[in-house]
Amino acid sequence: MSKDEMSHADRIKAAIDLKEPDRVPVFDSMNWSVNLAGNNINCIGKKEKDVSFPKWIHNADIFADSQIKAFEMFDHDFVHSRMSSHILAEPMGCKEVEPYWGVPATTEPAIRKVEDWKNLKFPNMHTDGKIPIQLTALRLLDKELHERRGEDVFITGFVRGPFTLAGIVLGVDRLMLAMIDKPDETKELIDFCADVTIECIKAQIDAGADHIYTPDPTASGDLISAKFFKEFAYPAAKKQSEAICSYKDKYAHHYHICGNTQDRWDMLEKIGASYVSLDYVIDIKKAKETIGQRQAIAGNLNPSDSLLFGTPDDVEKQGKEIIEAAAPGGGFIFWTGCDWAINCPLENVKRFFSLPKKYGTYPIN
Amino acid sequence: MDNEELNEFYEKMAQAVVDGNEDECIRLANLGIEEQIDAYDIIIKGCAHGMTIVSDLYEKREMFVPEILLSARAMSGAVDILKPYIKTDDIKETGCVCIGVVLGDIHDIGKNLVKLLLETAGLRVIDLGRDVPTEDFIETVEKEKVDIVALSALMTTSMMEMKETVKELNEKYPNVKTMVGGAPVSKEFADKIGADSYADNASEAIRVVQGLLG
Repeated sequence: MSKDEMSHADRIKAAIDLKEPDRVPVFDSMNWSVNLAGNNINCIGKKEKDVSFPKWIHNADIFADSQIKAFEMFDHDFVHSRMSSHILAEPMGCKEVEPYWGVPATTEPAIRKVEDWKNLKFPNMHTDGKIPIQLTALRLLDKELHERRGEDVFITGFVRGPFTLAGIVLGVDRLMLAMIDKPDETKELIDFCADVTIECIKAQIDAGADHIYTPDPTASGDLISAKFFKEFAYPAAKKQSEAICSYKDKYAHHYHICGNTQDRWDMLEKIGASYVSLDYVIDIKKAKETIGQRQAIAGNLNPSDSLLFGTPDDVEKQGKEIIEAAAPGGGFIFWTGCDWAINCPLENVKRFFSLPKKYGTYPIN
Repeated sequence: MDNEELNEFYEKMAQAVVDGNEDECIRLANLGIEEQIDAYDIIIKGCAHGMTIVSDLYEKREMFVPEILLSARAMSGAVDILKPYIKTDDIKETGCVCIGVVLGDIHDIGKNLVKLLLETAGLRVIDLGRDVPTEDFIETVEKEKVDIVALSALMTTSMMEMKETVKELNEKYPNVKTMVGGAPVSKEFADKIGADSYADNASEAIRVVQGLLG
């Protein structure tokens, strides 16, 4: 295996600029890194863990340490910092539970009527919920990786897409009907959510994030039509993207959307994100031939069939196909097509991160 | 009303459900009562038929979740009026389904739609809600006469729980059928974890349930 010729940041930037880097860049290990906290590596597959999920996300030092271990182990081009499914939901008034071994989930919305968005709290980014812990983790990662080691690996900040955040604070089923019943108030709510995320984004960039990951699963092609996407989700996603890129730079935004989204790829392109990651249900080759000609894309290994339930060879077979379909010509970042489970076996995860080196070194036939 | 007029009436109700027109659904339900049309027939041949069309249109990507929820709301408007008029011997409970979203997952829109369709098809449904631990499914099967346990998951991250629940049900209650569904769930996955059946969407879920009940 040849040694990488480019630094992490140069590799990512080349891909975003639709060029061919030395090899295909790869996104980070996200919450799976909890398996590298404390002695958790020896507890994989067991019910009892050394470091529980709540302990992990309430201790920025333990958290940052495990993300650094993941970086050392997998040599991915990004390093993660997410503390919850929806870092802003709890500070805005939602009820959140923290399972022993799982990502915190929102159980109660903050409001029950869309017009009540005016009563929502605009969080203080330095005191509310788990935001301060996330900011501390970003500072620790920045200090250790950027300052001390001189690594230019991209540190990933995180907020939700505005449409998805609106679904969390109102409840997804209510948001769905509100778009029909009260479209104006719904747009106001989504726009408010965009403003909240933008303040949180700025705080994360100030703390050391190189780029911001904004998954927007509720804007999924399995939930809303392209027409609704254009009217409700798109304007706020674009506003969010513009804010990220003007506060940081044109490499700073990773937009993720779930489901079959082919009918809205033209709009995804216009959001202005540095790159867009697509669900495993879509044909990545087709995406490459269309939206991928003008917009860097990422994806799209099946996180359940192969990464969670398959063998390392399943992961390799599927990953190789994806890289060969989408990487030639550049403009591609390798990743899964959706969030992946913290119970994915270590051997599968290792294999996953080895694939860009094995099959993604340019030139690719 | 003669047969032709009756069928026309059911069609109108189905269309009002498809259109998500709650006012029209309520108007038709009241009209049906006035005309002494069998309330159970209106629900099954009108409302439930409309929801099946809705579910098919979702499959074809002609309708999406907001429109489906609008239809569900319109249908509930009619069902609320019709329910008190159902004659008890009309309710042929053909089976009992225990349904829930697995532990760690709180996304229940799909589960709620399946539940609604099962109920309108005349089944008894025990809804355990969302984020349901395996023990709760087991306990329900223990206490109630359950024919089928239907499990839903939206997140790829919660599919592991689905596997655990199916495994435990199969071990303890091999006679109770299991079925699974939800965006990341596939036929292959269902086979792999030992579930008896898989449904890709809400209307298929009804056919699967009817198939399992034989």
